[in-house]
Amino acid sequence: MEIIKKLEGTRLSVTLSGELNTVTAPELEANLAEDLQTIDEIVFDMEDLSYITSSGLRVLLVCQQELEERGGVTIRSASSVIREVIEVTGFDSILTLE
Amino acid sequence: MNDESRTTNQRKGGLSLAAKLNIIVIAAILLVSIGLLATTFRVNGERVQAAYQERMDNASEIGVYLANPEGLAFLWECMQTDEFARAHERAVEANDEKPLVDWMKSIDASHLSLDASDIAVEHNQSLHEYETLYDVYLSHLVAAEYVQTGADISSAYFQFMEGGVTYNLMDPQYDARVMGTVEDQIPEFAGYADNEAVPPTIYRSQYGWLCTACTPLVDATTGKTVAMICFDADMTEVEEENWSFIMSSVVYVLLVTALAMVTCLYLIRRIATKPLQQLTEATCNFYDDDSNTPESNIIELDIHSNDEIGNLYREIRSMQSRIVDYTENIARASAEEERVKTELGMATSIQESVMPNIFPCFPERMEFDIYASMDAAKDVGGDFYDFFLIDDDHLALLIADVSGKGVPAALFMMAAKIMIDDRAMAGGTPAEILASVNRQICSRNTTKTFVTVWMGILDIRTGVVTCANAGHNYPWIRSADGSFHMLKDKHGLVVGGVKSMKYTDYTIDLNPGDAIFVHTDGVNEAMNANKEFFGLERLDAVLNSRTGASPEDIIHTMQEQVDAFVDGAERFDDITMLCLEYHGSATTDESENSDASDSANELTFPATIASIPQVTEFVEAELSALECSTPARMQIVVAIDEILSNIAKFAYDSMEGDVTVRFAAQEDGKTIEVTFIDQGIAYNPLDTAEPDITLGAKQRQVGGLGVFLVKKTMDDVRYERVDGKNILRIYKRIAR
Repeated sequence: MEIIKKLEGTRLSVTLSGELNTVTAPELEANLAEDLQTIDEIVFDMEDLSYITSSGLRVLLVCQQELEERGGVTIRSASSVIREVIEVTGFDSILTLE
Repeated sequence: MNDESRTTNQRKGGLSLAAKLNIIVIAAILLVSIGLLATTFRVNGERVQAAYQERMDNASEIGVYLANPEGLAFLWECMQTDEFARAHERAVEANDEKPLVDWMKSIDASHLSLDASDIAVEHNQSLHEYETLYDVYLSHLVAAEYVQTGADISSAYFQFMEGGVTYNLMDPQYDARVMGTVEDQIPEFAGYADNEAVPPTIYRSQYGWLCTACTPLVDATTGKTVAMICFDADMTEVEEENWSFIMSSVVYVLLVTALAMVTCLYLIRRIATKPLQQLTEATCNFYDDDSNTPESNIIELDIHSNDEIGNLYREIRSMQSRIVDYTENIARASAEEERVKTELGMATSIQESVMPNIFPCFPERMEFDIYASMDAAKDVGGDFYDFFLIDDDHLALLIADVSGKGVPAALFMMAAKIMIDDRAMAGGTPAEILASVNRQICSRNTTKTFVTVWMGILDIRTGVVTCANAGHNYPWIRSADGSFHMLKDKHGLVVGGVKSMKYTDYTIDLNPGDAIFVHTDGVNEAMNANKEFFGLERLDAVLNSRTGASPEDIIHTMQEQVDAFVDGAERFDDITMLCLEYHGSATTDESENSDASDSANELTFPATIASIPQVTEFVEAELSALECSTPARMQIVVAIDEILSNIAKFAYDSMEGDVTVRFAAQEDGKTIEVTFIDQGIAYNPLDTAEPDITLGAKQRQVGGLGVFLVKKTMDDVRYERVDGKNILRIYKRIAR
């Protein structure tokens, strides 16, 4: 999976390409660990992400827990399959789906 | 009630009843006393005045009678002479009356006549005629003294007024020396003409505080007023007399007043205020929540009078004992109500437990899906449904509505259900079963309760449902075109109606995807606040609002719609629904052998995270040979990730192991089955509790989310443990 980050002030845009699954999720988590301390909000662009598993949801949850008071997590351009996963698991009331 | 509220009942501020009554009594008595005193003084004043008037009148009468006007006229004449003036001067100078006396003795008065009224001179002389002027003078002196004593006045004296000036003719107090002008003029007499009669007049002068009256003396022969006779009464005497009278009156009245007040106050207290205070206090003591014997708080006072206070006391007493009785009754009734409520609660649980309500009910049977619900109007209801496997190939399902509601209907419902279930297990068609149960019920239906029943028996292999309807609502069938239609099946009479009733079977052919929906009256006869029925049209619309919905969805949607329609109005009837969806009998051969049918492929991998990409590649390759929609493919890939993660993490604990993944497609290529077989510790992912997806970020757990996703995205998930192996199968329809 490819991770491209862009920092604008306290907002981090993360573009993901490929799959966010049990194998790739730990990589994403490690990558974002430091940023989470300094930023206020994070926007994931999932246009090129083909699917997401519960491990991926776990990473999103960790981000949201950290950033909840300061801004939170936003998901952008998710496919219908990913959207369904986020809705079915109730994550749409935790994160912002654009 | 505690002390606080007890005292707040008694108002603060304002006067107590005792104070008010006492004030009224005291004021009244004082007013009366003052009135009495005032009257007494006035009466006394008038009396005194009358007495003095009488005295003056007496004096006047005596004086006029005794005086000799002729003599006085002569005296006055003589006082105009120079001799008199000289004699008067000498007398004043010498301060001695002798010159005047000598002068009077020197004047002859024998020409004057005496009349019978002339008084005898007290100087040891009997007077037959006036010899000298001095005799005239003396006789009048005596007359004056006589008047004084006879009328009981301070002094009487003779005067004459001429030209506004008053001359003393004779005054016993002062003797002859004073004959002459009276120096001071009394203002009170200023308004009277010369020698005019003066009524008793009170005034103060150098002589003291006096009451004076004057009476003119008229000479009978000439008709002229010759002199005045004046009378003085000393007012200080009068005053003292009056004063002592007043004092004794006041003291007397005060005593009487005081006595009256004390008596009245005492009486009021005894008759009114004390009993009232006692009543108030005793009534307060009635409200004692801590008392175990409330009867002991009933008011008990020593009041026996027949007046309002006595009546009040008796009324309060009787009211309090009624309250005690009433409270006891309420306590008993409440306890009873509690007991009934508890029992009803238990009855509700029992009812719920006899109807299958754990879904999915037959998870291992893929051929059909069934869901049902019963919502009672009261705690316990008369509707019921049931479904059960008569044998491996036959599923019985039924729905029923007992006439009536509440406990009576519930009891009947329990009996009817058991009878139907029992009879069904013994075999036969629905018509036979209903007829048999009907005979049983009719033979003992003393309460004339009846029940409508719709019953069907599904042949699971063929999809044919044999049905019978005993007066129940028409069933709804969803068939090929995906929409529900009402089936006007043949109705037999309600069960419990006529003992000899014969019912008729009919059949419904179900193809995979078809469904049957049955309900009770409570659905279409649900009423909103405007007394409108939900109705069969709405039911039709809701059933057909979505295509391809599962039985659970259909029933939940119907429930929501009915609830929304009723919108809080009172529920009159139980709402019961049952829905069956037929999937067709299983066509896949579920064999675990590795050399299984040619439509299956299988590979074995190490049970590690690292295997996930390989497994995914394997499955995707298989899928690419078929027509698979992208969403389905994505979902299958996710499912593989989740399932393999679980196996990798938990199946073999910390040891190594394998997982066999088997891919199979159905004959029509539209549904696929992926099987995961591992030899690890027994673990059924379906047992994991579903995560609470309503929690917020801080409370969310991730555990169990993977299995949850698999269950939600796959059409079916099945697990079995066979020969020490965990076998997990997922099914997904892949056609677009």
